Amino acid sequence: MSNKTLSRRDFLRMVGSTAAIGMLAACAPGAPPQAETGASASAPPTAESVTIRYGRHDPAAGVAVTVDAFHEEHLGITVEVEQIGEFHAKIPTMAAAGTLPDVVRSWEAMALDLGRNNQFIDLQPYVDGELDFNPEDFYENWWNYPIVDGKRVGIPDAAAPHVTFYNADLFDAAGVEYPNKDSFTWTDFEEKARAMSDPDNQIWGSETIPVGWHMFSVKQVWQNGGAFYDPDYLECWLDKPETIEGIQFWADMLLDGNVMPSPSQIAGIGGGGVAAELLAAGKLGMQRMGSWITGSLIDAGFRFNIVPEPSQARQDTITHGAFNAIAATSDHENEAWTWLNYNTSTQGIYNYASEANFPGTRRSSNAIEPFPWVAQVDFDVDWNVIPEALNYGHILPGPANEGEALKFIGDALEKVYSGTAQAADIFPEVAPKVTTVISDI
Amino acid sequence: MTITSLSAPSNARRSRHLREALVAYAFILPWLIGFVVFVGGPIIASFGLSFFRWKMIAPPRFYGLTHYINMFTTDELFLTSIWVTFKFVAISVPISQVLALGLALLLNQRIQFLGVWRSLFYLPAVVSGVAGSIIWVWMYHNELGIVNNGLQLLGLEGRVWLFEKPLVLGALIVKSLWNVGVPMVIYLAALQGLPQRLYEAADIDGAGELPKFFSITLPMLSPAIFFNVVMGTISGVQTFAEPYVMTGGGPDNATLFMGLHLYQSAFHFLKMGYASAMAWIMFVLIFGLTIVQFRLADRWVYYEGTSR
Repeated sequence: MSNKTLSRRDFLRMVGSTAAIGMLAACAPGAPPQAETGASASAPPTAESVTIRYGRHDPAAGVAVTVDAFHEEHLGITVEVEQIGEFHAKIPTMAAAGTLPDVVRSWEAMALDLGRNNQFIDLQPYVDGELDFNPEDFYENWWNYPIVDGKRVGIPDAAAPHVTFYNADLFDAAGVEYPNKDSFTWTDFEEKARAMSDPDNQIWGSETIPVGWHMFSVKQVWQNGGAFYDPDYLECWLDKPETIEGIQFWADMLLDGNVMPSPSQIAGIGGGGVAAELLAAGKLGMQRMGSWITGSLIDAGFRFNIVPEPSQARQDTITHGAFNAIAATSDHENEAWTWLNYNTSTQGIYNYASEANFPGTRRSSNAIEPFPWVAQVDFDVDWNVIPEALNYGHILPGPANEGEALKFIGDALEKVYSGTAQAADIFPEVAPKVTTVISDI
Repeated sequence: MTITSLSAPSNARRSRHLREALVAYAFILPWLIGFVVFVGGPIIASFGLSFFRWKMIAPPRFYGLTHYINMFTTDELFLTSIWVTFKFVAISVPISQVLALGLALLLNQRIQFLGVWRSLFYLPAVVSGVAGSIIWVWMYHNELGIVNNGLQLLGLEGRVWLFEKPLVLGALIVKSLWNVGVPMVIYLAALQGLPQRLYEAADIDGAGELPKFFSITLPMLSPAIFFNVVMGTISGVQTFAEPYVMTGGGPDNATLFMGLHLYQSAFHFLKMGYASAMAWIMFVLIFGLTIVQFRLADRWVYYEGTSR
């Protein structure tokens, strides 16, 4: 057995070499992000295979079926789905670094802002190049939304409308008549909610207002004939009477504590996280929310039904969705379009919408049975209310610099909803500041 | 001939020194590269960016000193964030130092399971800021949290610690004491390095425990106290994880720390140039506070061997 010992010099050489190799290895190009679904792995890569990165904020599972089907039909293209957390921060950072995914799925304001700043290519030539592409299949407002400076910067997929879910068993127990879908007003909502509420036993007629979710409030303003912004998103209308009255009406109801859980009551029952689960827990008579909560109600143990959101000056609601765009930095625009077009096809939209319990932005997707928004329950539910909302609802606004604008609006809303300020006092102060922010394009 | 015989070993020595120096630099090279690329570069870039308007999704536009002026003239939230940060530092740093010193004094005694106690008190310091913050969110939970349940056992009513404006900053200050293990270890090390002869001399003079503490222990610990206060102040001004995870800056901006406002400006509002300017103001603030502390240190910090 050798009795050789490692000299200090040899040791230093060895360590130095290892460090150098390690550094070189660290400098090597990183592996591309892995697909979360594993679906891409099922596609046999070919010599000419092109990989398309598809970035989205929703779980990759939502498009797994479509990705698998796409891979079977397009052997030369591999789609890697990247679910991007902290989407609002990482997408701009990727844009700055020139590493945006080839196809980006982003929500309303972000899609327009990235489009305004030339991060997405104009899709209209691709649309025009598809002989069988029928734009009229899309709901008109959704089709026309992602247009910036005459360029089409996105194709919509699904749209989630807000409607009113109600616990029919709780209505029966309180002896309150169900809401009428054809004439459901704010006054009706308040009367019914007040009649059902029993705060001492933690039963309320209505959901609470999610104070930190500023866009929840925009539908109340729309229903009262107002808006957060003008149609061009260049001026803030928070100081208009319709906006002030609309927000103050619901703030008063919130602070009352006998219609919906007030901020202190919400804290008392465990905070905002618990508040979101009160309907499924059988503690709420009504909840105005996106159709995606259907899944949480199927096994809730009570009969529920759906009516439109209550109206005041007009019938309105949120229809919230997202748009698929191709990054200007993509090296594979044609292949990216092939995937985008497939994903936003009738079947592609249907696959995703039925996974998430909301309608698609294509009428043809919404004609496929079982309808994507319908869940299997053993009692009658007026499911038609959900797609009908697409006919009168608004898509969420898309001003420039939305993050900063919403900070101003959110701080003001928080004050009004907590009762520390009146909308009539604070909104006129905030509106000019928001206007400055959103008009700074 | 004489010269040659003298210079040969000298050259060899120089050559050996050079080799050793090269080896040493080779060892620190990874760190140096990392520092230049990931710290030094961004620092310089942030200074340049602070004079530009940069949304990240569009090319930067020169803005001159506008960001620096706006910060103090139009951005009410910036001044709010300075005030919140100042209150936090002014309260949390002294409390944490007193607590850390007290713990160090206790753990410097000969007690059973000393290692276990020291580990227990230091343990939270190795938990990341985010993980610790999530734990504290649950501890402060209105119904399930240990804080309110503990208060109920004492017959007191629980509070909604993270949602009540008058309470929330205090709740974060208490959470900051969770990391008291770091200064505690430094105090402990300093205590163990105190010369026993001073205490022996005091014993001969008949001094009691309190006089010994105030006349020997505290002055001899003053360099450690100074170090901990400076480091505590710097990390206090940079507080980010706690408000980001626990409160989001609310309620009503009551916990909008400078670090959080900076982050929101950069990544929520996409005002990267403005956030860079804010970072430099933050640096100037920290630098100024540190200079003041160093100036004041001449009056109360005692280094053994120096005369006053």
